[in-house]
Amino acid sequence: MTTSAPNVEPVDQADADQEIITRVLAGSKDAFGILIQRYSDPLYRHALGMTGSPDVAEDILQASFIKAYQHLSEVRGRFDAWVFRIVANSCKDWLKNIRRTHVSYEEDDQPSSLSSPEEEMDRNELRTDLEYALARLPESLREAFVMKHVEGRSYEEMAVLLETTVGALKMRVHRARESLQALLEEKYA
Amino acid sequence: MTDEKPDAPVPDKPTYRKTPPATPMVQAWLDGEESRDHLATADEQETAELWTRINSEAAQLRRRHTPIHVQSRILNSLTDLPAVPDEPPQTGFKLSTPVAVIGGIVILAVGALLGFMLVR
Repeated sequence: MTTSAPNVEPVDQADADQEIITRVLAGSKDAFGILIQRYSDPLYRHALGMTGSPDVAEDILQASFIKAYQHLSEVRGRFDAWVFRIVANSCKDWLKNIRRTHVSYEEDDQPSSLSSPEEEMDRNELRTDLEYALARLPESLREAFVMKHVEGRSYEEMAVLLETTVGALKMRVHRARESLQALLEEKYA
Repeated sequence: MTDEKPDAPVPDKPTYRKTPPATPMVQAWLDGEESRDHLATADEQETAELWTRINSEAAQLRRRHTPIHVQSRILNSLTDLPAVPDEPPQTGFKLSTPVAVIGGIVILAVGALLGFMLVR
């Protein structure tokens, strides 16, 4: 019989993180670079998905890693889940403070070399529409949708990171899809 | 032979037709719990088509990486920050000298009082 483990990462990865944390706390600042390199991409994508702005995503990432460094001795449990929560909370704070009517992923976007100009136009159209709709989703639905569809995480992984249940997250993602589709339709009605 | 109508207006951008809402089966397919073959109706297939396009766009975003300069910028910004020592866990409370002296005097006084009362 096989069981599906809800681990976000292998246990030895968490152990490896703990070893690095010990080194950083012992004075090796450079060791922190390993953690930055290991986790910056998924965290950046989360911030980008939530804020829609590459510049804001970079700032949130930087501030979050600095905060993580300053409070590294307070890590209890897995580092990746801990630092994710710092980034996620920063994104929520940003969304609360700044109401934006337009967001864009395209500030530093690069077109795919595989697409024809027509396909690229269609894609840009859909991307703009998605941004429009995503920016209008309530914060919790947006977070669930971004984690599921943009970051490609499993429900089990999301449940660990957001400290909630798989059932609750499924409901959020389903509602997010319904709202997103309705918003897309509304734009073209 | 084509049935093109030369007078028909040519849309300058793609238009969206109202897509049927996602049924529980479509949601299950999107959650990876059902195969697309199980979407029986034309409406479900149409919704699935829209979501295939959305997922394709989302997959593009998934391939995004942190710009190279950001990682080094973060590391450089740690330079002036105080190193975080791993403080040893505090066990019990710290007893300062004055408190210890006063505590000792109080204990002696109470002991003397008790002894005096017992003798009487």
